[in-house]
Amino acid sequence: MISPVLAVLEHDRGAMAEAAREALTFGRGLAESLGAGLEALLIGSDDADLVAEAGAYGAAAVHTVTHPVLSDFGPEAWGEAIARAAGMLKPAAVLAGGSERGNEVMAQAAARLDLPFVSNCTAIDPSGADGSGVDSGSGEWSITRIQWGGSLLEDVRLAAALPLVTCGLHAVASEPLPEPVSPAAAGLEIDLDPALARTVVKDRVVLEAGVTLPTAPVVVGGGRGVGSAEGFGPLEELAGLLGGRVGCSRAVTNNGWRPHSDQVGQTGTRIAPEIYIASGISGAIQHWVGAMGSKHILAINTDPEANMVVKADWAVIGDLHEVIPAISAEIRRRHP
Amino acid sequence: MKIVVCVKQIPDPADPGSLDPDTKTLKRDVKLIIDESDSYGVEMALQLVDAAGGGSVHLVSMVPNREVSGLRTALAMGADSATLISDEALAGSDALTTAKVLARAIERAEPDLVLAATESTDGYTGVVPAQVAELLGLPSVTFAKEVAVSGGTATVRRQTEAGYDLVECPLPALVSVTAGVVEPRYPSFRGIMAAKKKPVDQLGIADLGLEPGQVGWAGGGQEIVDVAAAPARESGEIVTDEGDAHERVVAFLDELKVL
Repeated sequence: MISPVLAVLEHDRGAMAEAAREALTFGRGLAESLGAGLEALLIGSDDADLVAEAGAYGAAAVHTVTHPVLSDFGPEAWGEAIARAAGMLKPAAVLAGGSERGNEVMAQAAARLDLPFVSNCTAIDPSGADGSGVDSGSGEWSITRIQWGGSLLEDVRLAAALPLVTCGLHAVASEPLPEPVSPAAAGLEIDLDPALARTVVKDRVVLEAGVTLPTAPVVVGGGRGVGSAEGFGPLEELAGLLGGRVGCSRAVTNNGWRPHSDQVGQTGTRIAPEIYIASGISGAIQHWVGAMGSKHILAINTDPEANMVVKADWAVIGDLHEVIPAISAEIRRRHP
Repeated sequence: MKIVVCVKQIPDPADPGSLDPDTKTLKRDVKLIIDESDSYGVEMALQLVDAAGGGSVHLVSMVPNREVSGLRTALAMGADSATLISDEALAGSDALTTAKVLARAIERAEPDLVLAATESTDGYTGVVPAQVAELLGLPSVTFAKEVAVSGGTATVRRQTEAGYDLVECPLPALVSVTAGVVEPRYPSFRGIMAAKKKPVDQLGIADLGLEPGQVGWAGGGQEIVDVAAAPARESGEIVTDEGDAHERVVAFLDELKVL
């Protein structure tokens, strides 16, 4: 009997995370190749909208876990809930999105279950496994995972009755089913130790209302070539016209031109806009890691050999101080 | 206040060296440096000890080949001492195995607070800190932008997409630190000289009560079959600006329907 694939639904106080949609999309593919069903685990909520959205992305059933210690996000309590649910539901595999939270809660669950966990995967081939779940299952899973921030792909052979994986953030594009299914929702009774609530969220501080860098549909990035803090004015203007946000490279934060919260890269924010306009950015690997999730890249640079120019869908060889204001002016002309 | 900082020594990301064709992992016989991600934890630990009016910063690191140059950098910044777990059997250890080894070494230091980076630059799993916390039975707060300690409680600003959550937990606890939140100090000449004399306790896995079969390739249930460069993005159209590039850019943006 093939057990279902269980996808953990990441949400923040009832708002589903894009990583959860990616996990459901990725899980659908895995379930299909196993000949199994896809089910979802909803922790700390039994909200009907979340259940319906899970159905839109292919979950045939949603298991909900509600408990006082799960009232807000806590990695220990979430990890324990996943570990216990895996024991009760005996899925063929458990997966989550490769966001900060997704990786953290799965790491917690893996330590509790004493099972290997493979994070940031791009592909899973279950053909060496029988998919019958943690009690009786066996076999080998062939997994491709991201290393060095996305510059290397590693093929791993995992011998585990129950693989625990996350799919790399933005490694798959989320895609709803053509026709949503209406999943059956059922509460899972899990008695959790109140001591799991040792970490308490006292307050939530929102520093930027509206569009945030990780979710912005357009990011206008500036690098060393911008030259100064004031030089970002025209980038701000263009970002404003496009409903986007300004990002920057490490050279910029090192020079104190922008705060670290604007930094795109491995030690900054990973962005996934429809288009990333990278101006005056050479595109070192550490920056590329943060930018590679962009659907389209437009590079503006004086150096035709710059890494960013070579990797862009579209590149302008020119001076960003002329090109960017001209783009803003042209947008205003066409869309007054 | 006693703080342990987990420190990873990695090949220089600007020149990571070659892959070992047998094990499909990066050759680590090159010079290793401190993972820049960890320098933030070291700096934060030094600041916290200062703020507490005293204490010590102890480093814990694990590497197959006894390399200490990355640890010396952190000692030169001002950390007091280090434990290096070095054993050939550790090669190929996965995240959970790494967490088990680190947890045993951390336990011996009996810290009030454990700091780690959110993820290493090379392995990039982002998994080890949470697992160390779970194995030690400690509360964990990850992605910290700011940490304050007072009266047995850690108060942490945990980064969120739109700002931060203010999170509290009792000590001892593990906190993972986001890059860029403090400015790691450059080691002074005096610091570099002093670091040469600071104690680095070199342990093998047997010293931690572990056997070769529990760590490395054997311990993880994972075997790396192949490693390859991620497929390169293909070059697109390149236009040299002759005063009209902006018109074509806007046409391109129109095509993408972002206007």
